[in-house]
Amino acid sequence: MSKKISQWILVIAGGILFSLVFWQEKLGINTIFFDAFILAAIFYLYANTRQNAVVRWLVIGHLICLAMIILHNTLLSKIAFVTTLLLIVGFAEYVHRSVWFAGGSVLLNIIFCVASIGEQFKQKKTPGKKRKNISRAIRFAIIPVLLVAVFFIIYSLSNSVFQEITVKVEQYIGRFFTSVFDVFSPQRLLFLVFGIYVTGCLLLRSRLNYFSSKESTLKDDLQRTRLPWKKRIQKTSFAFAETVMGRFARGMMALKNENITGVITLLLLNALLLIINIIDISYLWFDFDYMGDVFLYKMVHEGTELLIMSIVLAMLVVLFFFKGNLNFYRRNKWLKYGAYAWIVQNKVLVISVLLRDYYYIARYGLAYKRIGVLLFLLMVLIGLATVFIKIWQKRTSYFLFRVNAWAGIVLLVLASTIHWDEFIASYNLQRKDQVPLDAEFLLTLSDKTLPLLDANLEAFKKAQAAIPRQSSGSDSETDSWSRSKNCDTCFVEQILARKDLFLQKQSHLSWLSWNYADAATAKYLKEKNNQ
Amino acid sequence: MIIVTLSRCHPELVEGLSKGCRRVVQGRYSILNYMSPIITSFRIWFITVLLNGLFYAVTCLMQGDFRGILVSMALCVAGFIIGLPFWLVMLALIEIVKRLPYSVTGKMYWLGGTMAICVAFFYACVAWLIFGSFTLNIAGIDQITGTTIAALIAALYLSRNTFRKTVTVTITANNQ
Repeated sequence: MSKKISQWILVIAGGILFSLVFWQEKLGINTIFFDAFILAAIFYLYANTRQNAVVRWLVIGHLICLAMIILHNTLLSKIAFVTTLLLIVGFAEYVHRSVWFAGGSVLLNIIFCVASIGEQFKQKKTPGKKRKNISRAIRFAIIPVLLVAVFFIIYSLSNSVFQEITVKVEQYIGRFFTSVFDVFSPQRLLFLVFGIYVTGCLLLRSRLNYFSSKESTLKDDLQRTRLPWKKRIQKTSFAFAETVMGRFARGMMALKNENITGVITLLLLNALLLIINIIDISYLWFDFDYMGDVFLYKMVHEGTELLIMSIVLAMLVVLFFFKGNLNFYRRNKWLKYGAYAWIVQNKVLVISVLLRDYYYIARYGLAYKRIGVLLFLLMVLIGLATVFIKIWQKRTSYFLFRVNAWAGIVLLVLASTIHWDEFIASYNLQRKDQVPLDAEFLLTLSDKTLPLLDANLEAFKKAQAAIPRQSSGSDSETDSWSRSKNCDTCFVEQILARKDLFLQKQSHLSWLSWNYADAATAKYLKEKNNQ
Repeated sequence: MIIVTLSRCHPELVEGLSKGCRRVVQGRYSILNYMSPIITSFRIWFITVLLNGLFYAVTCLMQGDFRGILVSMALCVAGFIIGLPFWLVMLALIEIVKRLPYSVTGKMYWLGGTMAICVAFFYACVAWLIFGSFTLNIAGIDQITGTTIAALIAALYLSRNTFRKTVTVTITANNQ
């Protein structure tokens, strides 16, 4: 079987499988079937990728994410699953080293998927005569059909007997098509088309190699380039330097002048950051009473976002000075020392931000944003380490972005192994005596937390009693769900309503949507209802 | 005399032919069977609007709604006025499609797919303006979206030869 035919068959088969396993279902055990099909098809169509080490590592990460979908079924595990699958596609179908460029190639696959599907039908032509007949019939039918339609309306409006007959015919046709659409619903057919599109995006390689060819010109090690004057003045960085430095950006001494500017900049920035770090160390690092002073608490809360931004900006400053030939300038010793000091000081700042986040968690409990800050700081630490390597070993920005993107992917896969909602709920509820209970937030967490919320119903009752009841006229209603819809602070009712809704949703799903998280929650709730 | 079929050359720019074309074609040029993207896009757009009215009428008949046929006529007239920007969208897309390294069939599929997304987006916007929700899942809106996309596909099929001539340039080169 030729590759083209097998591609065509696989795309159609994948589309059918997609519509069979995912129609009116959520991601669960059905993901295994579709994923196994897609991976097998990729390794069959692009046989060389079986030897590709990057693809193998990605497959391991992807399988971890798949296991997490079955185990936790969180949004994060689904995002990680889709990301790793798309990266496998990018690395299997194209020659890449960087996640960014592989992502670009996958984007081209998605944009030109329809054209790639069309390519499959390129040589599948029906006999000329037959096609001509169909075409002729369509063309000949247009005007007569239009005229018949017009006269049909006129006659049906003018003749009541004819109108009666048409009504009967209309009812018959209506019944016929209703029964047809009951079997082959248009939504189901559209879903099948969507399935073919998704499979096509994953299996069919786009004919555009834009990102592959772009990446093939990039290297990890920085090369010294001696650009002619005419070419150098066309660069954006030169235009910027000339605007700021004027005539000092031109001529033989341009590199030296740039070095002096860099040294002065880093000296001043280091001095400024030193003051900030000293303040942070003296105030935050030792003996900080996070349960006491409200003013200090405000400083902790409001400063975090700006400090994170300053760290990212700091990396950009270093990248600006070490973007080109300044890396090879003989007398760049002080510039390098300045950059190293700047990186070390920023790491100290990261620790200060980390402490701020810790104090905030200790006082107010866990939340998405607070965990997000922790993960982000981890990425920043890796980023600062790679910036150091870039300066020390004279690496390119391509290296920097490539390594950091891989670190991001590893972190994403690792983060997907934890059910954060459950972690947050259990942490906050275990410390409900020390940490104020944010009931409204806890009620927004996923269904997996329902058993935990249910086990701590007393705490929610207390929280509910502490808030004055809203006057919503809901007293007359007996249904818990309608009551909870009208009352934001009826926490207990909301939990009960969510339990009902969860069981109701589960009853509509088949075994294809099975996952451990939902199964465990359903089992707990059913046992609780039976008691 | 050599006849070379170049799908990626720009026929209007015989003077400034791209590198690949210049290498192949030398000497005197005459462009045969060339259709302008303006004419092709207009043709596809025009047939789409006509067929949309027809298909809408047919779907109304299928539902037994005979008054819908009158609506379909109004739709035809309104389509030529409101749908005019779609001609420009199609013109831009044909200009893009000419540069894609795909066969004529692949290019036609891509144009159809992209235009179908544009149509769906347009009707979703209409639903948002009228009903306040950005969706196609509203009675009437789903019907007209379906008929317009079907009309578009039919129009592309009927204009396939014109489309082929537009995206494939036949250049006659005299190598004497």
